[in-house]
Amino acid sequence: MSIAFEQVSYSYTPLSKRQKKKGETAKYALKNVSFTLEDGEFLAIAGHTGSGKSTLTQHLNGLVHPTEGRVLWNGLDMADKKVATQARGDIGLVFQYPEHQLFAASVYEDVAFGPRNLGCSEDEVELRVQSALEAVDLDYEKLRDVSPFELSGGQQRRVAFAGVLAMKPTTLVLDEPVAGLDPASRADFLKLIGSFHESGMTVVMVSHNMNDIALLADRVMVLNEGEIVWLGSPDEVFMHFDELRAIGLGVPHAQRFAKEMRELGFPLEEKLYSPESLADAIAARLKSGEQS
Amino acid sequence: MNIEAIFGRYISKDSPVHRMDPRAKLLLALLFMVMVFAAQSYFTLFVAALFTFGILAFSRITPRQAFISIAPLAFLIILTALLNIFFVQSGQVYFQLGILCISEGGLSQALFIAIRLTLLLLGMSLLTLTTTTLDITDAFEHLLRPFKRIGLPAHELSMMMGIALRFLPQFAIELRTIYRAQISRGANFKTSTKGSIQMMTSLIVPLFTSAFRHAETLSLGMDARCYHGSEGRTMLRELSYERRDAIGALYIAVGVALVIALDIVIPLLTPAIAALFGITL
Repeated sequence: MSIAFEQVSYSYTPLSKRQKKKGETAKYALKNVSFTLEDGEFLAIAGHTGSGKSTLTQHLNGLVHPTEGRVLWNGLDMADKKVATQARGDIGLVFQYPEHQLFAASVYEDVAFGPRNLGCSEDEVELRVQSALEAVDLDYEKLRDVSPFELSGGQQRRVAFAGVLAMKPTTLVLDEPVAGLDPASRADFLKLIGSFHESGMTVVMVSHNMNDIALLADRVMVLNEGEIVWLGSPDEVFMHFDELRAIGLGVPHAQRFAKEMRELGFPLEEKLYSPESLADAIAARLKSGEQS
Repeated sequence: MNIEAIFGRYISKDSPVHRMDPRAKLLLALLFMVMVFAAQSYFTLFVAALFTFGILAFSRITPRQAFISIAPLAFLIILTALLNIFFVQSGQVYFQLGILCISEGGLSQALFIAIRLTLLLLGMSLLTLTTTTLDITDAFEHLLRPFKRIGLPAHELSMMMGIALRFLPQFAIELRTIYRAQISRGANFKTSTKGSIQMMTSLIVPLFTSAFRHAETLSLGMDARCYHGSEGRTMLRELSYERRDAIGALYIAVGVALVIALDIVIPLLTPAIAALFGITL
């Protein structure tokens, strides 16, 4: 199931014809965005606050329609309401702080909301709720009748995730999925998201944490003021140290450390490092230095 | 939901009306209401309209902005007009269907009421378009102060009003996010039949929990800043009446006087004028 953006522009306040005649220019939240989301890939979207990340994610399942251009889902235009409704069963969008959207009296009822809206039978709903809760590492038997409001913040977010997973989407769109979590739950969540991807789901993750992106993503899109600045593999994108800094973003810690070492005269290759691979590279270099 | 179009959202401009004392504006808004309601004929209503657009001109708010701000309440105007069309019966009958009857008197009355309501809404929205909510609540508190002696908690009341106003747009934005999130989970708010109550709870419960969350954060923030009510509290900007407030008061007072006077004088003068031109009524 591929999603294609064709020269998508979006403005919160589109101009009337009269204003266009006057030569006024609209403010765009997205400007001329074109890309294709490939099946099974992990795309990370990075950008400073107000760069258009959230607007872009809401285009992905037809919540917001482009002012100009088209968003195609399997070749169908999502501006069509029927197409958008169908697409929403296939593309699961998890908003920022999804635990703020919980509403039902029990965990079961909340997670069942999505599948019921899709028109599943009660047996099917129960199966889906159970497997969704298990997918987010929650104990189905123990938690199914508990009120979601009694759970901890991290658990609430898992329930909210399960609510989207229960719709059995093939694509998962996550807007800042680990915002506001403590370091331990952060790590757990990133692992969980990685496992969704490994199970074959297409994942789109919005984040401004470059370490998380470097850890998980196949491709990185960097947005600035509504435009795509770079779209490519993490090692391509993270080569642009200074430019990334200039638009208010950083590079992964390991990458920055490697760069600073290089500038101090320590020979290290120019490539993408994880903390582990960087440590290995430095150790290897030191060892060979001792021998010579 | 268009956040821009919320009734009377403050529009920042540099104008004499913006700079007026909020207390004066609040009181003059009441006087303005008197003016609009005093108008009894089309002619005096026209005079009142002139005064309303005069304020608009002084405030540098464009007529378009003003009308957009009252647009969400247009249904109120239309509803009242419709009620008048059907319930006021006098003069020539233009259309009749069963008990529905449209007559000359009804149409005339409906148009009159519609114009009057529009002027009223324009005037009231001008108050909030040119005054920040903070200023309005300050003015509210000042005007309620005399009642403190009989135990009215003026400061607390105005603070509650300020908080309520502050959170209106916030909740509008949150409601939109929640709405979109539930739509993403397949919710159908337009043509829902069997599960419509559940659809509504899926919006209202998160909105309420969010309200409680905000209330907790806010009270914590107030405690942390040692908030203790109005006792011994000083203001960054003390309110004071200036010359422009007097001019504003004069302007509205002239408006009221003119409208009332014309309403009394015109019926008296009509026969005289008619006689002057030799027309018999």
